[in-house]
Amino acid sequence: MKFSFSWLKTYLECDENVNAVLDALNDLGLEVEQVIDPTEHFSNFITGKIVDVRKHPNADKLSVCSVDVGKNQHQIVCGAPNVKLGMGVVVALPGTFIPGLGKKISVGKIREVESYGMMCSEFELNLSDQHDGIICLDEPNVGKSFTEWLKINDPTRIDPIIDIAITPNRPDALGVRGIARDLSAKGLGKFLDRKSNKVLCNYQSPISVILKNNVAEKDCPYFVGRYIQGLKNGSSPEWLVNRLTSIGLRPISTLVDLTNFLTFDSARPLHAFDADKLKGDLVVRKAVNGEEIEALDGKSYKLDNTMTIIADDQGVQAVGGIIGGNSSGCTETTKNVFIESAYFDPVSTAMTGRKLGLITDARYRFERGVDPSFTIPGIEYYTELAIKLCGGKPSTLVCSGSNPYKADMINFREDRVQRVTGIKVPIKRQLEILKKLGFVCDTKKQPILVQAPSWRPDITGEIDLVEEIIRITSLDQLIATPLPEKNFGATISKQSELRQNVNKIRRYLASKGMRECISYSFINETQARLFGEGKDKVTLSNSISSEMTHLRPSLLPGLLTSSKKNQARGIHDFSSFEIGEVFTGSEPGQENIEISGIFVGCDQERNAFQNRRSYDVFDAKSVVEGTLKYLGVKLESLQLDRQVPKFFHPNKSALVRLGKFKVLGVFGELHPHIGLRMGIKKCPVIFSIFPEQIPENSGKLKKSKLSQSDYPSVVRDFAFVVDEGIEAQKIMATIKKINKDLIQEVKLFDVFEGPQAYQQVGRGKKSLAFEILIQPKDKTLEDKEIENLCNKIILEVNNVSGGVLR
Amino acid sequence: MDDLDKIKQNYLNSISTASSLDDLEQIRIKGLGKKGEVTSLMKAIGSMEESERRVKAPKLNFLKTEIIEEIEKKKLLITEENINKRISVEWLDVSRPSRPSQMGKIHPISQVTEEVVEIFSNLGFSIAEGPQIESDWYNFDALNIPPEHPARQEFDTFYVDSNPDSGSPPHVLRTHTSPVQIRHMEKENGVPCRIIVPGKVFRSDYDQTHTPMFNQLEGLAIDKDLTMSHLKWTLEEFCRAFFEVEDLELRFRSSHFPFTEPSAEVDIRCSWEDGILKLGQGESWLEILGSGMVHPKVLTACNVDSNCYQGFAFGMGIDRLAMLKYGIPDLRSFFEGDVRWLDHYGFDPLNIPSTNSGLR
Repeated sequence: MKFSFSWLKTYLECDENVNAVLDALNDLGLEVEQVIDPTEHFSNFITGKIVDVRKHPNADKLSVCSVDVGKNQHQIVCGAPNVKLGMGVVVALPGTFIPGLGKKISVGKIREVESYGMMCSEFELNLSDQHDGIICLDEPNVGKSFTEWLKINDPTRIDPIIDIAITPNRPDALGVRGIARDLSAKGLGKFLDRKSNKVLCNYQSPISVILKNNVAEKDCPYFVGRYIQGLKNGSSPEWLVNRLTSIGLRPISTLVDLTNFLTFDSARPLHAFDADKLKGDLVVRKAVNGEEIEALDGKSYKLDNTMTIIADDQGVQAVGGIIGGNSSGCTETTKNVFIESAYFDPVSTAMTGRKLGLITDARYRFERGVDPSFTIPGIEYYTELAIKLCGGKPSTLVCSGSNPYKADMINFREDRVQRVTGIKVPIKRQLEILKKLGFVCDTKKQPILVQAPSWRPDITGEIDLVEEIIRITSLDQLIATPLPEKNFGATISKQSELRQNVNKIRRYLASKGMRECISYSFINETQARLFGEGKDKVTLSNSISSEMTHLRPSLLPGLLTSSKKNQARGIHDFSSFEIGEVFTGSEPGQENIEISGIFVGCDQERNAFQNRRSYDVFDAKSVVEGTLKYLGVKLESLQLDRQVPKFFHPNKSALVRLGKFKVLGVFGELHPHIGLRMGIKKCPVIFSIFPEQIPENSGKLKKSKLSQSDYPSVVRDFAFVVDEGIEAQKIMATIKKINKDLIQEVKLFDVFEGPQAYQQVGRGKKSLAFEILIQPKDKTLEDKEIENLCNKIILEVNNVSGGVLR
Repeated sequence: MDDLDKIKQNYLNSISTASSLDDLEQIRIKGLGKKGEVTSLMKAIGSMEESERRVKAPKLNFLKTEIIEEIEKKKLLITEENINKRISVEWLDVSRPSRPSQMGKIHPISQVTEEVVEIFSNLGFSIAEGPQIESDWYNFDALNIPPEHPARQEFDTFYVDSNPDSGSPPHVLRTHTSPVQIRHMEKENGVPCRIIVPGKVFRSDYDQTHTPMFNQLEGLAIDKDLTMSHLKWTLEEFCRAFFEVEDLELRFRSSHFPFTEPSAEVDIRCSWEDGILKLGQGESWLEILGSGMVHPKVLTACNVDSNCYQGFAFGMGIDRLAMLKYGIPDLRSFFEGDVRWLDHYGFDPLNIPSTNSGLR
C-alpha cells in the first residue's frame, strides 16, 4: 500500500516529521517497506542567481557566468540557451553528486576557462526528462538549499512516498484514511475524518439494480448505485494526477481516476459504467458456465457458475468486485455514468479472482473485506468529486439489498491485556484506544461489552481486542521477564535417540574426511524411477521445475547430481554424505531418515607420498560398519546378502542384514549403466544406512568386564589356495568356530588373485593369507597343542572351502 | 709385574688408536677372547702357587676390567662420531607439503541447528519433530488458517499428488514447522510444554533470496501464566547467546500471523557499514523472526483449554541465522553440494556446539 505523506496529512493533523510517522507505522504493525524521500537528493543543491553573463572567448554556444550562491560568487561555464542575467538557478557546487548524470561534479576547465560547479536542468536532478535548458527559479532564495525552495514553491515534488506492507487482517489500512486513524489512535495527531456533504439530487435513476437470489444472500448482499447525467469527462486536475502518479498509477480520465482515488483514499473500490453503453437494468447474478467478458485490461475471461457478475441486457458488464468490462467502460467522451458501490463477499471474490488468475486493486480489497457501512458514504464522496470536476446531475441512490454488517458483541475482561502480555495499561487508556479505533464500549457491564466497527471484520474475539490495545500502546513496553522454573517434563534425554545418534554419525562421517551435503528433497522423474525401486512414487501437483517433480525415495540421486557438478568444475576426488528424510509414500509419516554417502575418484589428492589409491567398495563398507557399530550394532550379528537394489553393480555390492527381515544398510559400486546415464565419470562407490531399522539400544550404560590373559599368546600365519568364488568371510568364520576359547582373532592380511596369481596358484584360484591369534586363558600352551590346533584349522578350511595350505 | 704393565700399555695404546668398531672388536678378541692374551694369563691363575695367585689374580682382574672399560669408552666415542658423520650428510626438504589431511566438513545448517538446539535446551526446551508431508488440517486449519483465508495464498504451498477419490483435501509439503505445535499439543500430556522444532519446510518460490526448501526453527511454550514478556526474555537470551553479543537489543513490532495474537516481528539492532553487517550497534534494525502469543483458536483446535493455558510461539529461518552469523552470502548455494563451498563454509566435525565450551 503506497501513499504520499501529503495525502496522509489530508486525514491527519500532524506536526511530526516523516521519520516519526515511519517509526509509528512500524510499531503499529503497518510495516514500512520502502520510503522515497526526494529531499535527500536535493538538499545538496544550492539556489543561486546569475549576476554576470559573458560570452565564452573560445566557444560561441557557451557562456561564462558569475553566480551568486550566498557567501560568494562562482564562475560557471554554461551551455544552456536560456541563460539570462538575473535568473534564479539551481547550482551544484564542486563535489556534489548529480543523480541524472550518475557522477560527482568537479572543478574543471571548459575550453581554457575554469568552471566552479554546474547550473542544473530538471534532467540532471532526475526531476523530469527536460534538458533543453537549466531550471529557472522565479524567486531564488540565494544561498539556501533547493529543498527549501521546493518546500515553499513546489511541495509536491518533495513529497515523501511511503510504501507499507498490509497484513491480511487489515483491510481498513488499504486506504489512507484507515492508516491515519491508526496513527491518530497512537497519538500522532488528530484524525480528520471527511465530512460528507449531501449532494443535491432530484430525479430517479433510469437504471435500476436487481440482486438475484443466488447472490443476494451472501455473495453480493448490498448494492448501491447512482446515475449521473451530463458530465464532461476529461483529464484530471493536477492535484488528482499528482495523487495517482505519486503511487505509480497512470491517470486515465477524471471519472476513472476518481474510482482509483477512492480505492486508495478510503479503501472503497467503485465502478463507473458508461450509462449510454448499458442496455436495460443491471442484474447481479452468478455467471452461466461459458459466459465471457472482455475486461478493462483488454483480456477475455471465461466465467463459470460460481462467479458473481453484473450484467445488463447485452451480457456481462463486470466481474463483481474484481474488474469491469471493456464495452461499458468510461472514456473521454462519456457523458452519463452509472456508479456502482457494492459489497462483495471476501471468500467468493477470492475464489473467483484465483480462478481467473486476476489480481486487481479491487479484488485485493474485497477479498480482505471492504467496509460495508461505507457503501453509501463512498458513493456520495465520488459523486461530490465527480460533479465538482465534471459537472453533471446526480440521481437519487439506487439501493438493493441491505448492509450486511452485523456487530458482534465481545466480552472484554479488564485484566486480559496484562494477563496476556505482561504490560499494564490503565483501563481508562484501554477504552480510549478502542474508542479512537472506532470501537463502541459498554462499560456498564462487567465484563465490558465491545462492538467492533464495520471496517474491522477481523475482530471477532477478546484476544483481538487485546492485540489492538497492545498494538497502539506499543510492544516497546514489553519488559523481558525470565521464564519461570520448569516444573514438568523430563530433564534427561532431551532429544530422541535417533536424533542423538544422527548428530553423532554426522560428525563421525565428517571425521572420516567426508563432506556433509544437504540437497533438495525433490528430484526428477528419471531419478525417481532409477532409485525408487518400484516403491510408490511421491509426486507434487505443482512442482516448479521438471527437475523437481518427485519427492526423493533415496538420498543418492542428490549426492550423485552434485558429484556430477563437482566433476564438471574439475573436482574429481572427494567423498560426501547426506543425512535426511526420504519418502516411501504420500501420506504424512511415510518418511524415513537415511544416511547415504558417495566416494568419487581417489582417496587423496595427488601428493608426493605414493600412497594415493582409487576409492573402492571397502571404503564404503568400512564406513557402513563403523556407523552401525557406532549405533550399537554388533558386527558379528550381521549378514551380507547380494540381493541388492538394481542401481548397484550386481557383483560388487551387498545388503547388510540383521536377521531375516531387517536391512540396515547397503553398499557397493554404482551400477555402471546408471553412472553412464547420469553423466558421472568413473563409477562412484555408494552406500546407504537406514538407522530407523536398528533395534533400540537396550540402554545398558555399564560396560562388560574386561578379561586379560597373563599367558603368552601365539600368532600363526596360514595361506590357503581356494577357488576365486569363495568368500573370505566364510573361511574366517570357520576358523573362529574351531575353538572359540583359544582363537581370539582371525585377520585377513593378504589377497593374491587375478592373472598374476594364476601362474603360482592355478587358474581360477586365489590365495588368502590369515593371521591367527591364539590366546590361552588358563595355562601356557605346549607346542603339541598348538600343532594340533593348526592341523585342525587346515583340515576344517579344506572341508568347508576346498582350500589347501599354500 | 712389568709384563702386566706392559701388556696394559699395549692395549690402551691400540684402543686409543682404533678407528672403527671393527678394530675395537679385534682388540677385544686379541686380549679377552677365548684364546686371548689376557684370558690365557687368567687361565694360568689356577695353576699358580697360592702366594703368587694372591698377588697376581687381583691385578689380572683389574687389567681385564680396565681394558673392557676403555673399549666401551672408545666404542661410545666412535659411535657418536659415526652419528655426527651421518647427520652431516642427512638433509630433508621439510618445506614439502605434508600428507593430505582427511578431515571432512559439517554443513552450516547442521552446525547452526545444533547451536540453536543447545541454547534452547539450556532454557528447558526439548525437541519435537513432525512429518514433512502434512495434512491440510495440521498445516493450515488447525493453525487458524481456514481454506479461503487470504493468508493461505501467501504461503506458496506445494501440494502432493494423492488419491483423487479420498475426498479429503490434498496433502501439502509443510510450509512451516508450526504443524508440529499442533501435533505436540494434541498429545495426551501435550501441555504444559516447552518445545523447539527444527526442520525442513517447503514453499514454491525460487529466486535470489528464496529456495523451494529451507529450514525453520519453531518454538512453543505453553503453561498457565506465560506472557509476552516471557517471550521477549526467551528471545533475548537466545539471540544474545547465538550471536554472542552480550547486550544485543531486540525490537518487537506489532504484526499479524493467523496462529498468534498478539503477534510481533522481532528485529535486532545492527548497522551496515560499507556493506558489512554489525549486530548489536548502530541505527538500523534487521528482522530475524516472527512470534506471538498462541491464538486461543489454535489451543482449542488441540483440545487445550484456552481459559486455563496460554503461551507463546516463535519461528525463524535457520539458514538465515547461519547466513547472518557466519556471513554466508547466497542461500541457494546451501543446497548445491559444491565441494569448494562446503570446504569454505562448512565446520570442522570436532567443533561440537556446547554452551560451556563455546558455540562454534
